[in-house]
Amino acid sequence: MNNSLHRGRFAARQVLDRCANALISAGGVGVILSVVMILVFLLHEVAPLLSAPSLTEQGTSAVPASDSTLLVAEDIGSVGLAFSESGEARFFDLSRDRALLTRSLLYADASVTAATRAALPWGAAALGTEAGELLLVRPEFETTVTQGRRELRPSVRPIVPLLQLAPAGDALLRVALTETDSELAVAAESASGRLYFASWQLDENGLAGSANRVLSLPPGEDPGSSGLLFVDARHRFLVRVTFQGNYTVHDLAPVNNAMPVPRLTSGSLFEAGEQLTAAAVLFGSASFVVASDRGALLQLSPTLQDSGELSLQTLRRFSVPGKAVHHLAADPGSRLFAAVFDDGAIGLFHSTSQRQGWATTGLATDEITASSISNGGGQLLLQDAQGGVTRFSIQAPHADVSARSLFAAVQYEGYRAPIFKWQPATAGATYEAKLSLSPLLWGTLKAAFFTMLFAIPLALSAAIFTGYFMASSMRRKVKPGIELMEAMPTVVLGFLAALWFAPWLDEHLAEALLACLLLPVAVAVSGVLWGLLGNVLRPYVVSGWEPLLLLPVFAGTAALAVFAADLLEQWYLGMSLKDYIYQRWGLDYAQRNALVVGVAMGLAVVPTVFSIAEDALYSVPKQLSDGSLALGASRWQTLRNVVLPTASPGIFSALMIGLGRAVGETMIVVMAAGNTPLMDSNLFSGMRTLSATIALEAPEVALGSSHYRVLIVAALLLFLLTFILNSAAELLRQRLRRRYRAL
Amino acid sequence: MAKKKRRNPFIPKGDPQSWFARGEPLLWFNASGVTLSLLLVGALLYLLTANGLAHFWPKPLYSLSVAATGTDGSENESEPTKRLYVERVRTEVSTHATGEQRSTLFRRGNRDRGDGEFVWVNDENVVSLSRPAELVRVLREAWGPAYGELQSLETPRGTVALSPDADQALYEALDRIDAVRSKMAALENGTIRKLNREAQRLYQRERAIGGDAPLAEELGKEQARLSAAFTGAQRDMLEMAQSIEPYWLTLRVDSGELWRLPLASVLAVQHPNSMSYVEKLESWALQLWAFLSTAPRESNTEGGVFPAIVGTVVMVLLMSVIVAPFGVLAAIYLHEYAKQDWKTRLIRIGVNNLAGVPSIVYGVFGLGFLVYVVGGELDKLFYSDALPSPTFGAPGLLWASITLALLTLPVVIVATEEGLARIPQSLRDGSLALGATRFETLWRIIVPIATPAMMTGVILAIARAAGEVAPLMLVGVVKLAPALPIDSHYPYLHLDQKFMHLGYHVFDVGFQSANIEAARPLVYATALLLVVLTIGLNLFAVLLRNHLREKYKAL
Repeated sequence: MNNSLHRGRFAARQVLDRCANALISAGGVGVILSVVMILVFLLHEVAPLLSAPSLTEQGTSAVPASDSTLLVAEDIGSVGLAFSESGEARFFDLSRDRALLTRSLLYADASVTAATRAALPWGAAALGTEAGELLLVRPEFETTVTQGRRELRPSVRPIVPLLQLAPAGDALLRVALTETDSELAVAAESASGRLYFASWQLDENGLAGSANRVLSLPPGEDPGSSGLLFVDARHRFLVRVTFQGNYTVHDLAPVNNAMPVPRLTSGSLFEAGEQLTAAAVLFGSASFVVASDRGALLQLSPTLQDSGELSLQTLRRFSVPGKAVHHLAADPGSRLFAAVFDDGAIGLFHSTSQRQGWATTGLATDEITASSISNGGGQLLLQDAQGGVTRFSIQAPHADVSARSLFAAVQYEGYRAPIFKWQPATAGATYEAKLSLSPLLWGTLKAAFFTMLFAIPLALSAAIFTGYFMASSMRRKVKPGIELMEAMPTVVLGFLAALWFAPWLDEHLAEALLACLLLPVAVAVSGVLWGLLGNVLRPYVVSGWEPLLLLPVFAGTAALAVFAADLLEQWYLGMSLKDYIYQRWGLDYAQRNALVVGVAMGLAVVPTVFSIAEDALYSVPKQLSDGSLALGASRWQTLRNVVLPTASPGIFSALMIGLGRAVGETMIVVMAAGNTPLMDSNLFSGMRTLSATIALEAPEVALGSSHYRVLIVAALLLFLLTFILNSAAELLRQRLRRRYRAL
Repeated sequence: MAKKKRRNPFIPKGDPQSWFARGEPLLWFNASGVTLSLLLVGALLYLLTANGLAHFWPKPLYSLSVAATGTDGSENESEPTKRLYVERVRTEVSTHATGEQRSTLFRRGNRDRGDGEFVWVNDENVVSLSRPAELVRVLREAWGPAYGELQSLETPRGTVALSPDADQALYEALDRIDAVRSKMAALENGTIRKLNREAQRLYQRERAIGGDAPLAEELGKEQARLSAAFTGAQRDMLEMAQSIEPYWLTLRVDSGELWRLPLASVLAVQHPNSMSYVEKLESWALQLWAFLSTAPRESNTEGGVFPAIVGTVVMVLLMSVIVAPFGVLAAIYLHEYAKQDWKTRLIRIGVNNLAGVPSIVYGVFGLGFLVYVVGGELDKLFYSDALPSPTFGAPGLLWASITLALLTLPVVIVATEEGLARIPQSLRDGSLALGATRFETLWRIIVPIATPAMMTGVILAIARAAGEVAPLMLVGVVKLAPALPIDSHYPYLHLDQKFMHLGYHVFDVGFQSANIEAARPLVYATALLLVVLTIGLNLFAVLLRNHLREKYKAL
């Protein structure tokens, strides 16, 4: 009986043991896996950036009639609007293949000869008539929910009454329309070749009163044959491109009644014989794209050069196979546009990132008469000659980001040359986000460089002395003292750096720099002096307590630096050192600069580097150094030839870990680096690092947006940078351990 | 010809036994590294302590006569000097081509008079500087301190003239007002808050019962009772507020004008120029206590940091509750259970690596995964009636704690493993040989011995978490939280709430407050508090570890 009880208890113990075994293993593996999740999560969030823009065909609808000249699509793409040649606005439901509403906007026998829409979500549309009149309307979709069903009630609202722009009978053959939050401008070319320009102020309802100004410009070459008219968002330039590729840029700014003819410049975009086939104004109306029958696809923008001359800047050429482009449609909500090629291929392009996506269709694309991308950028509508509309859905959530736009210089609208720029904030709805990680990466490396410049000499010399020379009674106090600094919250270091050290350095730059120069000299001199006087004094001082002897030397150096700085600034330079640096080298002095960051972050890194390097030096087997000393080598010789080579993997490992910390440190740079994304190597200018950017921008960024994902890329970069550094350090340390074991 | 011997360039020529030949001067450079490091550590701690503690010390007030200078720097004849009542802030020296210029920043206080709270005075323009005994500093709830001479006090029973020798009436009035104020605070925090909560519950019940008539009647009665109680409490509040309203303090400010201040907003009146050292010490201690125990005022630039202390402590404790079991579990698995092969070595490298991953990356993970993914799903499952306003789908205490727990996991794992490695294998072998199972060996032998090492790990984790700010900016810390994350109302610990944090307080007040000169001393004090907390915890952990090493040396 006793035995069975025993056996029962034994079984229970075994079960408990197995349970614990399973629990601990599961827990341990779980914890480790959860940590792997961080990397998985980062990769998962970055992955959508990699997918290229793509198109899928959704079906064809038979409405509207074939004579429409302009298509507009609603944001979810189910409602379309076509303006017909007779001046009707026809709304139709694409998914259900039926007409919704038809409204006549003009008089009985009117004929629309030109139509266009603003490159904005919910932008206005402009229609030009054969009689020289201009109609400005705004399509609207009112959403009503009746019995749980969402219904769209479309309508068209005139913005201004019908306007007789050209003389009666002079048909408007081409119109351009540019809309911003508060202004609207129209340019038109009549059959006689005259150019007309008119602009309005918009009220909060999007309606306009009487025109601000109306201009009429004399005809240019090939009157009436323009392939594109363009007015930029500031209403400064009017661009006309003919089908032969000849362009004129008019500067509208100085034009008034006294000086009715604007200055202009002209030129040619294409080779002789090459024909313009399609053109589209890009979102924000700062630039436009033109395409030729030989496959040229250019993004252009009118600008003033530094000399004040007008020019038409080619922002970029898209590389496309030399096929003729038949039609272009621009997204009214982003810088994405679709190019329909003669052979049935459709290409999606994003101007900022130069991302491309391709699809081939069985459509007779050379018969396309009108096209549109919906307001939300989700649908592409193509209308053929028979009036059928084919829908494609566009998947391009992150077309504005590419490896090139993240790391290479990008030609942005409004800039003369490609630049590196980080400026994701949207100043306006049409702002071209500048998401280049290069300046941030540069800032991170610059901060880390100056940090290590400050920390390496300090930490290593302290580690060498403490680990090898120092009297052990002193070491027991000094080592924890320096290591305690590791516990110092970096937010405190950042605060002191920015609000105490940076203003102080601003006032005492000369003193600080001179002290840095004088200190090594003073230490060398005191070493020599100690050597000369040593025979007298040395018996009184125990070896290994030298740091204390240096205290008066430091105080003396500081006093000397203050005195010398006075002398330098007042007598030699005759101005403050900051002014001198500016005049001599043109370097601006920002109060929160790389020097401040280097010192503050250096203080955060010194304890880490010191601690690991000191451990490595201290654990060099004593028999090695004892042997060297016994053979007659001096302390310094032993250090240089025996101790340092042995401990070198540990020292390198310390430097790697220190560098890793400097790369990822956040609060100090947020507070003390000024956070301007610059790309210079000036010691006296600030920077913006990856970590600071994440800390400052991630709390406010919209989930799932391109900006959010680019911030995750920044986090991934930081992760990988530190991962590489730390792995290298770990490998070095393992090598060190093997080396010590062998000794 | 004999081959020229390569000479070590670091060893000077000459007598190999001489001081220089032995390379001793080079050694001094290394010594200077130690000296400089220690000096920097000392300077940093001194700077923080001096500035942080000095803030509460009643600083002397000066009556300053300044030569009024025109815009061209020449002396203005018509108004030769101007008198200012000020407190000295700091002196700065700037170097110009003409020589050095010293100018001093003075605080004039009296922000609501609109004459500028701070003033820079060129030291050359200072005509005289004295410390009249009758100057007082009036600490107020809003608008910062007021400086002036006591003139008179209006009470409901009439006006009393005040002088440095006869100001007893003022202190009596202040005591009375203080008593009323604390009663008002008690009423607001106790009764009124309770009534608010009941009203909220009632509203929820009302929504839940729908059209049930008898229940609705009962609820109506309840509602009437509540609103009566609420009106009563509000009347009491109003009465108390009115009872301290007729007290006014009149000061004579530096321009000679008289200035009436409502005594209801006055916290304390100090005579820093005539206080004895003991009185100053008492005032210092009182202000320090007020700093630790009260809520911030004036958009965090004044008052205390009590909510930030509570926020930091609650978050850190919650974090340690999470990190301790998991960290220890992982360490035990790695050291006691897993087979020691390349896989465990890889995991160990991974864990060491994680200690070096920047904290902001953990913040991104916390925000992107914990808050948006996990929190979003929790909201959909359990709090769908509150949507679209998020409950756990927004940054908060729970996510901050988990994020920091992940961040400090390597600290606990490494410290615990170190402790486990110190336990001699013979103990395990002995236990197993006596027939104990693996779990019994672990539970009875290993864990008790390693407990202190685990504690060290947890304390180090707490110290690291307490000083960490960057990830918190993403996952739940705010500038000003409306309520504490822990209180006496169910469920007591509000995991979904945002909280205040000492480190973020330093960042926020130091960088985002409009009146940085006024806030600066407070930031120093907060920073000092944070440093004392983290360094104290670290020291404790180090001492604990050293103690244990001694204890188990014999094993």
